[in-house]
Amino acid sequence: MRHSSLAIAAALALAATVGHAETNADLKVGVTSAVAPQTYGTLRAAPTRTLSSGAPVHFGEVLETGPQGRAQFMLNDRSAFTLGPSARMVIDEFVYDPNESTGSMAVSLGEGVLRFVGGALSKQRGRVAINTPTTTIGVRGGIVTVRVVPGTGETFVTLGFGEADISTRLGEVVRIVQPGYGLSVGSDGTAGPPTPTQVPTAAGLNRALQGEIGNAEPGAPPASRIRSAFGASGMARAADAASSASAGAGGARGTPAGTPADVTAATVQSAKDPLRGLTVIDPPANTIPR
Amino acid sequence: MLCAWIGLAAAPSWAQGQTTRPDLSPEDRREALFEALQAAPTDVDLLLAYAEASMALDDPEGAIIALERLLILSPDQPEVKLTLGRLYERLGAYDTARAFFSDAAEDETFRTEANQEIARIDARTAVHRVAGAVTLGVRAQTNATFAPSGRSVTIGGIQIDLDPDQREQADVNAFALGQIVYQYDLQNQGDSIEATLDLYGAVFASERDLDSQYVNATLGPRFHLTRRGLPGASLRPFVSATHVRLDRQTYLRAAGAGVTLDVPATALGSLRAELAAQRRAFSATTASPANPERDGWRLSARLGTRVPLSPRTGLDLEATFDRATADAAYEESLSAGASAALVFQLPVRLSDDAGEWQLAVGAGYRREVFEAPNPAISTRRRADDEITARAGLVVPVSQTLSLLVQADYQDRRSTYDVEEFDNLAGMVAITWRF
Repeated sequence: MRHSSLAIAAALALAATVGHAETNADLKVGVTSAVAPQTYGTLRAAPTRTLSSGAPVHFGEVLETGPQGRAQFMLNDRSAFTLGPSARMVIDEFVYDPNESTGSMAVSLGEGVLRFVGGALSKQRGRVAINTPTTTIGVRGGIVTVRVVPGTGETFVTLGFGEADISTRLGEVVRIVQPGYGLSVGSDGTAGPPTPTQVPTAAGLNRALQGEIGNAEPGAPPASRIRSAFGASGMARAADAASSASAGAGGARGTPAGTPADVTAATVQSAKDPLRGLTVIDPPANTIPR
Repeated sequence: MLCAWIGLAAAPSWAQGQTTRPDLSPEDRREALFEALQAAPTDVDLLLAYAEASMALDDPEGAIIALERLLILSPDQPEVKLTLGRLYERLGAYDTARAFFSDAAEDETFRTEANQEIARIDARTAVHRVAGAVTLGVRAQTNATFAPSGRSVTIGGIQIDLDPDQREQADVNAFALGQIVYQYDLQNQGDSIEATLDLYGAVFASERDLDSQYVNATLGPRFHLTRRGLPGASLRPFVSATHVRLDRQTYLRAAGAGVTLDVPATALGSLRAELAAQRRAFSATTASPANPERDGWRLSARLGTRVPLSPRTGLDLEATFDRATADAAYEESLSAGASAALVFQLPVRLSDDAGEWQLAVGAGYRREVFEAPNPAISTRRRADDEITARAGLVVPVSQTLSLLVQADYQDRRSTYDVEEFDNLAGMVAITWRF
């Protein structure tokens, strides 16, 4: 099964590179955008190499992190995969036409924690798939974080944005549409219902995807440099404005209108927006016919 | 070979140079930054520029990629974590957002801000949620009684001069308006049970027979429609009950049901549609002994939308249709109306803590036609045409308090001159939301 998907992917990848010489460079699908040390890549029969920031990432390459390793890979469609410690993934398929923003992508996560943040391909349903030993996760949107337990293949999926279709090997398909919800698929392939992800779980996943103090890649910008550059940038202000907007009418982007997530904004419309429709502050006494 | 080497070495600096070209569109600038980052993925300035360019394109995901990369390079970045929390909050991923805020709160510099965000998220994600608003205000009207505009009216073909106390009466009233929403989150990706309560009371300075109280309550589930094929939308069937008192007497009791469809903001605007039916029972009062003749059903349909015209301007449009049945045919009616308002977000605020001022100017028209003539008044059927114009200014004082200043004018023309009136009103109010 795996060989067949690789063969299809190889054919697709080669089709996408028509007119170019068939070299490893042509199979490059992105770059290693950041690493904490202990990040490795193995491309087919080639010897395993240690990856540093800026190293190319290829179709079919096995990407791994050690117990202290973290890495982010940015692919050509502007999507990114971030790997936590002791993780292993393979880019099984990557076809991308930047002119049309079309194509497809599939990766396999063998173990560890992975966060996918979508780019151009995931804007359409059915274009991005993350395979684990027990499930296939179709991502649209979107942001998902996936954890695969080593050995058992038990998989936990939590949605950050967009939609995720979780297909188990038992043929069950469960869709998560509400950010902050997640589910587990057991080693036997049975999926639990989507439930709100608990904050300690989210905190653990966040920490697994961040570097460790004192364990930075040689040559990485120092903490003080990042702190001062960030303080001087407009990012904090832009994000503040964005989150304030999410508290207004319409709520956060990933949440439905009128649900608890935006009840203050949408349901008690007059509290935030008393002029809407010119009808809100309309003392009912004046509507009483006499 | 040498040429190839020179070309490769020059590529990053060429790409970086492209990012600052003033003629680039936001999309092209972001693309140029992306290209530059391929060659220099840990360049902090490029990363932050890429994050800002993504935000400018309303693409928080791009910014998240950049900031999470910074945390791999250096995890000791509380301000980056605070910002990531806000980005995830923007996307509705409150669990991840809260986790980032908790991390940021470990740093004393950002503790207060982070804890405020945590409190906000906890309020938004609780299983039991209560939100609402209380408005207290004063309203002055040139014609508080909605009395006929002229000095005489024609009833049964006879012209009758109106006594001074039957003509327009200017008056001032104080009012209180309360709106409360309770939601119980069913913890299944957005569905909830929702109850609403609207309360209103007014006390007039002179025309005490206009003192009134109004209670309206609704109860029903709210279904999230994204996984049912309508992204972001929700549907809410409900039952409703209404009680109105006027002049210290029960005026109206009503009960019914309805359904509301909410579609959130998209590029084309947000939409709210509502269908409702209520069975109304009017009480005979001192001033209106024939009130029970109006007993019957009221069926209503409303369709409202806000269309964004620019980042600071929106257009509110609303259409309404009402059908009222009654025991007396001359009380049965059909009405349709439409209103439009321009809403401006003004770049003015009282303090950093307060939101921006909001100005709205708009107008509406409504026509109501009755089924049969009222034999006591005329052989013709009653038909009303009513226009309204309104302007209002909201001045946020803090995150929870707002001042509201509003003026509105109402003018009704009718085939029954006893029903014709106009009224100019001014209002000052303060709203506290919780």
